[in-house]
Amino acid sequence: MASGMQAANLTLLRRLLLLVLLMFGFAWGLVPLYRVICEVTGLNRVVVADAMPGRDAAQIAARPVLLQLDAMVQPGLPWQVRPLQSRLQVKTGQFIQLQYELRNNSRQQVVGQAIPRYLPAEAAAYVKKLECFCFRQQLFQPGETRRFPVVLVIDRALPAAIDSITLSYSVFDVPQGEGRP
Amino acid sequence: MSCRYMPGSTAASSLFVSTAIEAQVAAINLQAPATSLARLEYDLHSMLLLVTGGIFLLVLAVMLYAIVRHRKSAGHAAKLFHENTTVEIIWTIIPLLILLLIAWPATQAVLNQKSTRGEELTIKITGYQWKWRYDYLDDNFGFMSHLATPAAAIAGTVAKPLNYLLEVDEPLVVPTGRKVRLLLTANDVIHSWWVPQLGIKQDAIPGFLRDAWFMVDRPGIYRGQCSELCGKDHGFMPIVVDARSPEDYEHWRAARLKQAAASADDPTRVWTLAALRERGEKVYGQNCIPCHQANGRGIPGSFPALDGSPVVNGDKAGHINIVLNGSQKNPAMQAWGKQLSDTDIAAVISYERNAWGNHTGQLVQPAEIRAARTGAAS
Amino acid sequence: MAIAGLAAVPQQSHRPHGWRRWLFATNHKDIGSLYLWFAFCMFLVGGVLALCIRAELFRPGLQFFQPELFNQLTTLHGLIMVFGAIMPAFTGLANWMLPLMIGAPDMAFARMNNWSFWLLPPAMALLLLSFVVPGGAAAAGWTLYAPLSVQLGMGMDLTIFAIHILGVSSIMGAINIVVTIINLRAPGMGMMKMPMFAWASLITAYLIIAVMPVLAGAVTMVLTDRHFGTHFFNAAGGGDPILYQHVFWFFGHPEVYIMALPAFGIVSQVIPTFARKPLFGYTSMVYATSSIGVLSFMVWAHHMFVTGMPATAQLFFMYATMLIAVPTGVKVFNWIATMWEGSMSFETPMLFAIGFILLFTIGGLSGVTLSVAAVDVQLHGSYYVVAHFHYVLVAGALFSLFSAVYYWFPKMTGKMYSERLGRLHFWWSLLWFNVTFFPMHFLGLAGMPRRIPDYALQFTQFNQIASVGAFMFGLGQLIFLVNILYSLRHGKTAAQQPWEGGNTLEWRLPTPAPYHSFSEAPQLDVAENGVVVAMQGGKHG
Repeated sequence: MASGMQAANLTLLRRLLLLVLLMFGFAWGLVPLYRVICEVTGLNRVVVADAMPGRDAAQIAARPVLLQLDAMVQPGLPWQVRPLQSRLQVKTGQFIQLQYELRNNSRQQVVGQAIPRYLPAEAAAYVKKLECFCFRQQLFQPGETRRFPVVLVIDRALPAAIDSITLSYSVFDVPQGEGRP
Repeated sequence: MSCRYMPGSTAASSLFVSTAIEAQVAAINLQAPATSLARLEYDLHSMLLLVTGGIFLLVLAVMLYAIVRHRKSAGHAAKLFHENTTVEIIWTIIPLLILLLIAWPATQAVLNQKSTRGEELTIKITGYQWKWRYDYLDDNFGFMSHLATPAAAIAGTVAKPLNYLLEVDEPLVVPTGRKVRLLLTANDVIHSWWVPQLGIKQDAIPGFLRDAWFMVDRPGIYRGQCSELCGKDHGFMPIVVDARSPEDYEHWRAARLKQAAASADDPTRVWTLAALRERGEKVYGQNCIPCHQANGRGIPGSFPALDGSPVVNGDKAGHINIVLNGSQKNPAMQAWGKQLSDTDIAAVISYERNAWGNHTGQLVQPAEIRAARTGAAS
Repeated sequence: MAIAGLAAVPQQSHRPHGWRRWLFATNHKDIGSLYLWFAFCMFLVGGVLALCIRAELFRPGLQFFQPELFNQLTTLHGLIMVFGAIMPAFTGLANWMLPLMIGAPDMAFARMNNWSFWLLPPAMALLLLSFVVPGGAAAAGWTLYAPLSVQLGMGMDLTIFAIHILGVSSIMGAINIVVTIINLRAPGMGMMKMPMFAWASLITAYLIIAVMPVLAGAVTMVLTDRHFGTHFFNAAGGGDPILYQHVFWFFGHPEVYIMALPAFGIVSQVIPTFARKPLFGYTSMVYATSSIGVLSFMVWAHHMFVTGMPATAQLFFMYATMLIAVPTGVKVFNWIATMWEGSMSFETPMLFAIGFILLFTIGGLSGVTLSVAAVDVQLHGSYYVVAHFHYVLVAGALFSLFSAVYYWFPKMTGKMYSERLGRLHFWWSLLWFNVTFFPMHFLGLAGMPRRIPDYALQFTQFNQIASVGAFMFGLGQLIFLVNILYSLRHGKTAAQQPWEGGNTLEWRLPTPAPYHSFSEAPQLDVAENGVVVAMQGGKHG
């Protein structure tokens, strides 16, 4: 093969190998990208305190909403989590106070992190949590049981199509010393 | 022959009006819809079948014509045209239009499926390997639903019942005419809850919550199956929905609530070994046999043997811990503490410690399990 | 010595002989033959696994295999057919024929080509070995969804390693194809003149380069979740099982077009030859193939309609998927327009090509049905999907491979295959393929899930029909094997121009093609689709 041709082949080879590496990196990049997309679209809300609903929202009439509460724990984890109320008939714009009880069933200290899940997913943007045990990692002693308040407001701007919201907390372990995932 | 009907075993199910397809019928279309959602899907599919069938027949016809007429052996000479922009544009636009025509009702159907407003009853469904759990969230009771077809029928040593592989011990009971909202999740791997006549299929994903809804038109038994590969018994975790009139549903619900209150085992009761073993054998049969097998020998390489196991024959605390909390090493061993009561766990552990070749003579009381849960055990 | 019917290696060359010729092969014809024989062997292995599955499903009840072994059979059947049979077969054909069709002396990187092939046997050995390790082979379906794949035994690790090796092999092969086509075309063989098989191979190669690394990423994440404490797909650690599905199907959907586009390329060569007419609409065929390649990246979540995605996402993926039907339809119409007013003869390659068009159309139409998300709710995870993808992969990709092998057999070997056995193979396969897979549409509609070893009684009849069909179909593939083996030894000597209508560059070469062809590039005058009007120069040997 002529050396000019060989050089051209090697150049193209290098470019294609670069593409291979970029696509491999892209696959790994999908991990944070997926998280960002979920947060931006409101499918998996970031766990921070929300601001109070804006003033203009106060102009919209309050309406009734059914709030259902639930909890999930992954198998193999020593948590027991339960809401102290299972369903509440509330109004948008109303301050709602709930309680959740968490227990560490194991014989070690455990640090837990709760992540809220909402159904329908679109409701996530309208449930403003003012106080929640999910804002922080929680340290539990062996066998310890604690109750936590959750204070939230459902924004009056909640779309009319939604008249019931399910809030479920999924609790998982944080290995000691790790930051929030 | 595998299709024998055994009247005795289906006496109970024959009491129900069944809209499920009977055995021996080679169905070629979707099952009869029992909800508006299922009807929508049925009609949409019929339309698609017509359109796609028509397109195929057209293609076939044109091709057959060419094959017959434009062949060398018939003396046909080739015309050498090989492009025609007008024709190309036409057969790009027309399929596009057909697709647009399909897209309109298709879009309506998708949007319709998502509406979960105005539900009157909420049920949380959790997929397990390999069974379902139904929790009536408004009433705070729940139960597991296992395949009820006997292993002997699967092995072929007894005749297969009419609803072979589609029967459970505890069906999901719902009222007709009321909107039922389902919350779905899973305990271990991804499962999928599918009942064709209700028009629902929704993945159950561990750690996440999904929802779906239905409203059943008329009373009946509706059967479905798990439809996401979830391990060895993926084909053996069916779904049975028993839709009853609102009055019948209320009767069932009241009875159920009473039963939940009464049957809560007294956790401080002291049991004899014989009683624990008898109860434990039942618990074992319902929960442990798929992996550890009836003879306690497990499946070498996949599921450890309990017969002669050092865990089962060793320290009670270790045995209790692994049954209560699962195994980190082998995630297939679930945390049964979440699924079974103190009494059931005490019973099954006592059974295992005294079954097959194991003769520890030891028993475990429900109170010990309760203490182990809170970490207060020594 | 005449292995695989090829011309003997010229004695005066310093090329290796005997087993060294094959182990150290750098000649594209030798490597092509290695790929083709390997792919056919793996096709038989994958076929045996399929027959095990159909034997178990002949009757309700568990007769032969425990459920955990059954899941291993379905998983390995899929992996072996996709990665061991179909993809290597297309690569083998590309290796053999592309240089001949574009006037190149060999592939651009002859030694890398050797590694591309020889990585395959160890990878497949790993997969097959996994049956005998504790816990058995991977049993999560070829899609290896987490968390199930994270849960299973060491067979899964062997599978992950095998997939990495297969990925490296495919990527190297694809790079070779791209560089060969871009850089090594003979003068006169412009991009918008080259044969459709070259276009299809080029676009397929780009797809491979883009998505095989993504698969590598996905299975590596499964590996680290299994052994190195990561939580990509575990909600307990902040991960999400659905992430796996997104990453996998981002690979997985282009993958199925990787298996379809070369089939399109082959059919675009065979039909014009036997219709004695140029391919209709070459330019739009190129654009259609390219747009299918591009669109294939945008539809992946149609495999995930029931995972609980928002309605807007369902609608987007539904529309994008329906859109792919348009360029695919254009291709089907163009093939028929090529047949129209032609002067057709129906030798075996043409039979398989026509069978392809009809049956791939059925598969495509069932795909349109599946793309409607609201209907997919009933069909996802059922036997309807199994029917759909077997129509496009067996009656599609496999039939096109048979068409190609019969088509180019004379050029490769200098012998003619038995036309009688070829026709028998075709009609036999056509009949029993449909008997096997058409009833599966009904099974899915009636509510039978996939990946189950046992089923409810109402599914019995169609399962029995499908099982009978499968065994008969499998038997028929032995006709093909017998034909090839017999014809290699005793076939009639092929004419230099075995097909009257063959007018692409490879047909200008001697038959069989010389061991070294186009060692000096010819000067070409080329019409569309690689049709050579005039050729000057070009040295062989």
